[in-house]
Amino acid sequence: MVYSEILLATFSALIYPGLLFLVVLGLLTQWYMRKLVGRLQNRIGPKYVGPLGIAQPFADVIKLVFVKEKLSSKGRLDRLLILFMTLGLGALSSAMLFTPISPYVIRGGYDVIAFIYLMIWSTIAFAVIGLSSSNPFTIAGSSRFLTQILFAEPALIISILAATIALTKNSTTPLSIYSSAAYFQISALIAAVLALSFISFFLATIAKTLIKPFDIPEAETELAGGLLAELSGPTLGLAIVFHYSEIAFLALITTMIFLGGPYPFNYGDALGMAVFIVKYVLLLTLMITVKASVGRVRVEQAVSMIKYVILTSVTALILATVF
Amino acid sequence: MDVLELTLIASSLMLLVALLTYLSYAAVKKGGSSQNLSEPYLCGESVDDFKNSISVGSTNLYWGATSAILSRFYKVLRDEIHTGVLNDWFFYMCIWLVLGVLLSFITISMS
Repeated sequence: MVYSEILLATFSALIYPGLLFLVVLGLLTQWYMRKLVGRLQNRIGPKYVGPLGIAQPFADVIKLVFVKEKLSSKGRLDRLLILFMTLGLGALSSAMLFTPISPYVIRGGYDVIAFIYLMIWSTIAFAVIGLSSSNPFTIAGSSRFLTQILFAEPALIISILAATIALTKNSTTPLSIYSSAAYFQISALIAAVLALSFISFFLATIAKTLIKPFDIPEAETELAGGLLAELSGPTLGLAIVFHYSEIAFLALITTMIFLGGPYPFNYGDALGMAVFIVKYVLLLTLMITVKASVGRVRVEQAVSMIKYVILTSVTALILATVF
Repeated sequence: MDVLELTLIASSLMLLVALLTYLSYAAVKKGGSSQNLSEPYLCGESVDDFKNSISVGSTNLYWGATSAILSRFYKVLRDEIHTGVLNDWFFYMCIWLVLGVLLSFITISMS
């Protein structure tokens, strides 16, 4: 790699579409979620900071990280906690470089393997949040999260494999995230595979990001916040940033791979960008509507629901592989 | 790029971002946390009650999967795979991944 490439790669990982972009988009996503859930529940939602309260999530995180004191509890492994959260953020930022919106693109045949490897990091990082504390509530939260993820993560992986197989069947770079997103095409078979894998990926995303009805790992009423029970001040700020960056990342990937990104236009067009944003917002709206419409399910209910999600993704994979 | 090369580049960038985030966080929040130690938050329960159970037993993990649907499968999980170590869980997840990758390789070889 020459110096200019290294600089471009560093810029992409740290600024756009990496760390800074993901954090800002994640917090804007949080604002949209809070506002829409508020409206759906006949509340106003964030209101005071910035126009329509859009800067409220930023103000919350700045307050938690810069103003609140650093507090720890006995038996908590603070450094491990911070290390894994930063590794999770690093993995998400790095994974964004596989997409066509990045100035420096990591691409090649079978790059979906490295992409999946990076996606798994964020799951591990989130589980470690609970496991790094000695509090029984957080550990129980983590064990519930791992139980849920035991079924959600395979569904996530299989559906992304099915989509990339179908989309890059005639490509010179098979199983490539970049090629799947950049050279999006549609046919009857691809539409069937994408529809099935989208349903599966969407539900697995909800389970992975602890959105209702799959939010039992952080149930406030019985686990006092579960995974996040012991976090406060700066660590809570970092956990919020990490969590919403992950939601934004998964929503972006869903928009690019399963919904075609700017299709029928191209990346870089003004119209393409508008279509992309509309699809992203619609996806979030769907996610939030589910969140506001349903109640929390128990772990075994969640697991027996998610096992059908795996079946859907396996059907998509068989369709993509055989035909 | 081949898979190895792009994995190395992606992992290096991941570590770079993680390192810079960690250092920025450490710079913002200087000083040890030992001055501000509190008891674990237990909703008013006595800490002494939990001294012997600060980690959840392996039977508690995956209980949802077992009681309802996959009790025999769970038995294998509990006895063979799940030992309470995060690595073992990660290993189990890798089996899923390898299965997916194998299927994709079969596809490529067929096409």
